[in-house]
Amino acid sequence: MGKHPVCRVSELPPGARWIFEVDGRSVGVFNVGGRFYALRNRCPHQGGPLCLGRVSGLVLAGAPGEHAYAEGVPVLRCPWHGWEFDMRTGKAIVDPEKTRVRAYRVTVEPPRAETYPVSVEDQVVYVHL
Amino acid sequence: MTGSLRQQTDTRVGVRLVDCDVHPNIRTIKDLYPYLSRRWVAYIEETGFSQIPQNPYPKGANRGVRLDAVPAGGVAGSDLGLMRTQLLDQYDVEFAILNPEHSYRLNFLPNADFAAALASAFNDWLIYEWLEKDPRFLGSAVITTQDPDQAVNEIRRVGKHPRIVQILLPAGAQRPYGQRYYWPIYAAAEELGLAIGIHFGGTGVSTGHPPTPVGWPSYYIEWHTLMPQAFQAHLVSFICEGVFERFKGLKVTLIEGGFTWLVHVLWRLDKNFRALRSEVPWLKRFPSEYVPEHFRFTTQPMEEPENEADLVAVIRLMGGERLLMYATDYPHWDFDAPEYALPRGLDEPTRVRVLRENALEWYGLNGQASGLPGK
Repeated sequence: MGKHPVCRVSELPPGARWIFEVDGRSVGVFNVGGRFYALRNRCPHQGGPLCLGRVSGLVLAGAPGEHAYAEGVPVLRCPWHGWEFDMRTGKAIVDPEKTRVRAYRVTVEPPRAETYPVSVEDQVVYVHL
Repeated sequence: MTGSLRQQTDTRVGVRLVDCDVHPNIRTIKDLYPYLSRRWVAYIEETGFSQIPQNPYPKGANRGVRLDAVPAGGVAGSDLGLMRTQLLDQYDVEFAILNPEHSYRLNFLPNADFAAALASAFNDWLIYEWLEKDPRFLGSAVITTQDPDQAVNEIRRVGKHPRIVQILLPAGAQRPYGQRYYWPIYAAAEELGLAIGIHFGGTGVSTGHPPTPVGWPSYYIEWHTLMPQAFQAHLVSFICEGVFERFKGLKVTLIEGGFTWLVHVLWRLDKNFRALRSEVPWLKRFPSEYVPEHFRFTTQPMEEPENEADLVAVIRLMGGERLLMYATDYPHWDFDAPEYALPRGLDEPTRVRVLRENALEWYGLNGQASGLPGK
């Protein structure tokens, strides 16, 4: 539990993801357009490997026949049944109060052992479990 | 992407499964060449034919398949090793019934001879590249009904193979399946002890009718949701046409067509029978009474109401303890994992019957240690 180092920032460029196991749980950490998100790799629906799914924006409509695409909302879709989750909160797009996956806080910090300044690329992505 | 592809779920269900709907797939039409005559290979090459008629709507998420079931650079369902790992071994499947992807939509090719040749090729491909490579596989042989005589010939050609347990047809059809046009097919299937498996799909395809009685819905979500309409039409047709008075041993498996609708349809049909019996005087019993002997329903895609107890209640009402047979639909997007698919609250004997025993009985698999059914 606590702060778990995953990889160096340079190993997780925009569009990439890293799936790791800690304390018997599988967790995925994602870089979506420079922002980091971490989610439990287990869909609450039927237990599918959620973090292997596609990342997209959010399709929205104010009225029938409208089609908007919000690039800024990171959505992860389960690779099995396609259920959509807001990566910022872990809440499902449909029925968000009852359907959610655990989302974890992600920080980028210098490695804990280092006492000297490190470059941005050498900083470490931590997931707070 | 890195990390383990291993699933994180506890997949113990405590029952050796019979999975009644699994889809092996060809990578391209060329995979069928070894099983086609020179005449049809040349035809495909000359015309550039590449695709069997497709279902009419783009399939929403993930192109219609489980993303983790797509082998590197390949096609979901085309890799025997991955299917073993991800399905047979993962869930302790004793038998999996293979319904080859695309094959049933050959029923919507206008050229009857070409359709029949491709159906034969699919069946040989199924036998040699799947059934004979793993004793857990059983198969459905596809037929094309554009020419019933050729369909009967194909049933007789492959239907004696010990691992062919069923004849495959699509839910979409040119006419309801109870009509006499199809009876030679049923005579052959009954004689060889083969079930007729009617599988989701094929509505609104190519030469077929629009997918609903009110025409074309706009969206895949509608098409998928309304697929049970086709199954209802066939079930009522089979019963009212008197198919089961003529073919008393015929078994019909409704695959991926839902099942909670059965309660509604049979209540309505039985009520109508009291007033309208003389129109179908060959029926010797209430219409609903033909169902337990002649129909089974596969579970996937399981309906998932907010309150699972409601589903348990409907399963009881429809006689699901005997009528339902578990299916995953691997590798499709609406795959049902066995540890989640059945509603909590189902009593244990029913759960075991649905996951295993009903299918063993239906396909005559009991006591066949070799994996060869005693049809």
